[in-house]
Amino acid sequence: MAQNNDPLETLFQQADADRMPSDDLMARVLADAAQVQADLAVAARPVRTAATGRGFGFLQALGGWPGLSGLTAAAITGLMIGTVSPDIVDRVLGGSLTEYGLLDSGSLMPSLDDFIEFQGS
Amino acid sequence: MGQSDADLDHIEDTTLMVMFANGQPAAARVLTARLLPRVLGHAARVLGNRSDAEDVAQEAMLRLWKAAANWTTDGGARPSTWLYRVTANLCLDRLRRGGRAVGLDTIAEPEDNTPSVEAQMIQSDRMTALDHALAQLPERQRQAVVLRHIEGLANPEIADVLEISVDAVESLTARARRNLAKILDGQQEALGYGTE
Repeated sequence: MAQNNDPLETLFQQADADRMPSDDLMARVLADAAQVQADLAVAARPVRTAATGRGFGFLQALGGWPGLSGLTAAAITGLMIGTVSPDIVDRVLGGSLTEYGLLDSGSLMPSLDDFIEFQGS
Repeated sequence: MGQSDADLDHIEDTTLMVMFANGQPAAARVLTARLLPRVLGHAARVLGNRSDAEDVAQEAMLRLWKAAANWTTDGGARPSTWLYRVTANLCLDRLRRGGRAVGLDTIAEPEDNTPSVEAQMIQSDRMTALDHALAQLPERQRQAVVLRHIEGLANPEIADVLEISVDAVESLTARARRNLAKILDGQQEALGYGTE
């Protein structure tokens, strides 16, 4: 290597080698790193949040999932009754519509008179 | 299982930052081995005090770790440049708090052959003499000359660190060298280089 006659350059070169950290400083820096990594791991962990909000409150008001299941079944049954042929509904109900004379009346909605007549008979 | 330090030796600093954020302890060790000596050296030369420099270096590294979570590998700042910038600012804060900063315009001509410099050279304590000479420079000149001639950074990177133009870096380093040369002028014998 060529000898450098510029004292300033020589000083700069020597200063370059005068920067090794102490073991203590290395340990402190690595301890900081470990702490930050631990904090990052906690921040990144998936958080299981409690179910909240308006939808969850509504579900609870219905009695939870079992209540919702029952309500759904009842709604489907009602829809079926309202849409399928009265003959089929009458069969499913064991002839109740025929017995009350509702099937021939053209209306499945009994009137008050029907009930009065039925009670009195 | 984590990777060993040797496995990561060839990996760029930016990628190591992402690996650090993903929890790999080896990434922290490799980054520390690469970057800590550089920021420590910079802080030590700028502050002229090893203990203060260690505090600054530790704080700068801590800020680097905390920045890792948001570090991106696509076009962001290089960790070394970012770290030098943080270190430079921490040094400036510490110098100003301690009333040791020398303003850009406050130095006209450096003192020649001050007793303290002469005494240091008699003791052949070259590094102390260099630190003393650097301490007489305006703070920005000091940072620029340390980054350029001791840390070996290129002028564009120094411009990024100090957030100034490349022309300003060239001007700062040129003035710093002239001032250092004046401070150390005539001391070659004392420094032990005059007879080589």
